[in-house]
Amino acid sequence: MAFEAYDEYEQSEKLRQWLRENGLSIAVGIVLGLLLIFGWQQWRSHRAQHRAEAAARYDALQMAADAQQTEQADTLTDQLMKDYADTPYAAFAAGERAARLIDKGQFDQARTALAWAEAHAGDAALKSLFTLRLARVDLAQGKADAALARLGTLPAGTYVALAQELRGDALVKLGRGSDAHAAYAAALAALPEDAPQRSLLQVKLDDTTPAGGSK
Amino acid sequence: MLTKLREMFSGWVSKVVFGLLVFVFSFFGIESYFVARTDTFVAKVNGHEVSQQDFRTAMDNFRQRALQQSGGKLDGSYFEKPEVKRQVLDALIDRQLVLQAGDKLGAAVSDAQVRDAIAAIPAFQIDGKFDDGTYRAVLASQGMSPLTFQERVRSDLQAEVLPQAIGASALATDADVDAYLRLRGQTRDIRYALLPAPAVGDGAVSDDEIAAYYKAHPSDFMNPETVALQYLELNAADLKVDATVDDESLRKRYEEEKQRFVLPEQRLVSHILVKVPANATPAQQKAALEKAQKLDAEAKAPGADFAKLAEQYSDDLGSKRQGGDLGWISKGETDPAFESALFALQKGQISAPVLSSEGYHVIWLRDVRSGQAKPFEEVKDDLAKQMLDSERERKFSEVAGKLTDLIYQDPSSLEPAAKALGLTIQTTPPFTRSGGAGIAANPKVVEAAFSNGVLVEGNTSDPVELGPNHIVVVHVAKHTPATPKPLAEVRDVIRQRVLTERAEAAAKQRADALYAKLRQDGDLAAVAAEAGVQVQTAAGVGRDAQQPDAALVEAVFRMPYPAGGKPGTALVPLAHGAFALVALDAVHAGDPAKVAPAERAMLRQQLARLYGTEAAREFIAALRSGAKIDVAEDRMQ
Repeated sequence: MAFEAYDEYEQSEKLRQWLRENGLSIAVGIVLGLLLIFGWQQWRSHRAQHRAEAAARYDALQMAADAQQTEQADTLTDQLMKDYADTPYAAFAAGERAARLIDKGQFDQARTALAWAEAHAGDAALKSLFTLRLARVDLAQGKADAALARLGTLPAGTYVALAQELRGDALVKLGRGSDAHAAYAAALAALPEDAPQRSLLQVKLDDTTPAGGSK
Repeated sequence: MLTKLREMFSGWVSKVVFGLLVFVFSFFGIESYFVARTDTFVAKVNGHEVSQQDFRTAMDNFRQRALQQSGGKLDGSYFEKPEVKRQVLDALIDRQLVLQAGDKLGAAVSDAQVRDAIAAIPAFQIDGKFDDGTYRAVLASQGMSPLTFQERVRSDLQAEVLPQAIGASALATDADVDAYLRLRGQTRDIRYALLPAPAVGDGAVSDDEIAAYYKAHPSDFMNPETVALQYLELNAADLKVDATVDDESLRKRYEEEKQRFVLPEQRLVSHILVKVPANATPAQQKAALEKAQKLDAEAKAPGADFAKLAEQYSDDLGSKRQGGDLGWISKGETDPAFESALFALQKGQISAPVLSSEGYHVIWLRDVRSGQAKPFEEVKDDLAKQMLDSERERKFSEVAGKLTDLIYQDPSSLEPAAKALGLTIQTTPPFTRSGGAGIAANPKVVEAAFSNGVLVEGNTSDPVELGPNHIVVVHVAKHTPATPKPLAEVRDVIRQRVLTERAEAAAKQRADALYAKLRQDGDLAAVAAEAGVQVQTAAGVGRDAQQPDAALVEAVFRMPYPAGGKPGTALVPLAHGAFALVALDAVHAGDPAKVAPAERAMLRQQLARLYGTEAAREFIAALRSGAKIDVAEDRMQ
């Protein structure tokens, strides 16, 4: 009740003095706080807009690719890789570029695009996906050993079915039939029961039956 | 008075009030720290809760879809199975994982994408176009605001972003296609020796053996479960209709529906078309008109042959060969401009050129078949029958409705319904799950009879439709569970089976011994000679070959390759205890170069799609293994 002991004039004087001493820091605090809130919101809306732009460009890229407008697709891909590398769309666009290049037999350029996607994947599971695709290109270029080595770098338990099938393909190429057989068996075990590629994988498995029969 | 108030509040009253407030505010809500919070989530994915409400909605959607796909054949209890519930929950968890990964990585859905997706939903469209009024009305009828719905669509789209992008960027190489084609076109050269099926001897089978077999295979010797039904049948054709059909009411109806008995006027037409392209220049249009006018003049000239002109000059590929003949046409079948010109012509006249959306037509009206009303006398019987039929149908749906109501009121017996509606309770003889005679020949009736509600709970079935306006409701009269057949009855069958098994076991033993030799020496000729059978050869056997034997071919493609100068070998069991000893001499890979580029491109796309789908699945599996997921199975309601 100390404050009430003063009369009104003294009270107001006290208040003024207090304000003189602390007014600046209060004002700075309020401004800072407002800036922080405002800035946070700005940043969030900027980020959302940035992502939406990337999504829209990626959409346009899909349409261009479906319509076989390669030039436009390439322009959009470049744009995504340059300005939107912090979104997953850039990596996917690079991956699609690689698929187009592979259709034309340009493996080395496809490899570059996939390596870029691998480096910018932003997530371990996505990164492994592009590693897997690089291994597929290795094998397509006849580098079965390189493909095997690359598949070996995948974290255990990721993309088991796809990776083991590819491993089997590489091992067949190297003439290691019974190792391939084991790899195909592992791939088949990892595939869901209703996966349509089971029959193809079964054929690969049967084709590598070792002399002692399948285990 | 204010002073007084002020004094009072500066005194003890204010202190008490203030103290109370402090107490209330500091302890309000504190119980939540002491009382254990009751969790309500069904699953928790990295801290995000999947609520029971979400789960129920997902379950409802799944149920609807599954019922639709199975044509309503799935039993309600299917959706109560824990593994089915778990499957639905797993889909929800996967969705949450993908949403979180998308958010972390920076996937987004633009407003335009949401708008397009909503506009593409048929339920919101009128004549194939999005309609805002319909949109709001449909949402309102489901108690949803446009904003809620937009967010739902957005999150649906968002959950698709990553899987779709993974699929779209999937790749397959020529090497993959070649590997596939080499396998697909592979052929194999084999030699084989057939060990024929053993003859079933007439040896002695002891009673003990028979008894043991009977005991070991109880399900083979059962009288199947049967059910006999009581049923009420309601058929519109049997209903008595007491409506009187007098001439007066018939005549009245005839007047009302007169146009039904009038044949529309038809006109027999030929035409010559001078085509005008859709985006024709004025010059082109003019040239076409001039050409049409010239043809028109030629056709109108005395002695002209319209058909020949059409054949020569018409641009209408469909009618050109027939001399421009379009056949009989009635109103409302052709272009409006064409039609009005056609119906203005007199029989035998040729029109001036008429412009339709296709171009200029020169039209020749060859004949007219005028519309005539059938007289009352001619249609009287038909009308009477129709009136009776519709009256009968009305009565049928009335009685059927009553019947359904009565069954719902008392599903335990058919008596009340039979009494109230004057129907007789009929019965069927007992029949099995594969059906019987009479109404039991109808699969829908059999299904209803053996359904949970009817057979186990003893209720009357829902109405089963036997045909149009023909239903039955069934009730179990007698249910006989499956019973074992007495041993004496099946004794001979068992004896035969034991003999067969004996013979086949002996044959297998012999085949195994021969195969062991074959495997060791790789010499099929010697083994076949020992068995006293011929060696046969088949070269270039393909995967889908039906010769020499489909089962044999399938086994041949599972054999190991020949190696170290020895053929690959296998023992292949065939039907009835027959065996084939097989030696694989050579494997020829298919030739990828023989496949056309178009097919290769298609195969590569197919492979890429398969790899893409699998990659998306395994991507989610990878997310799942790195996530913290709690599932509360007990709350999966």
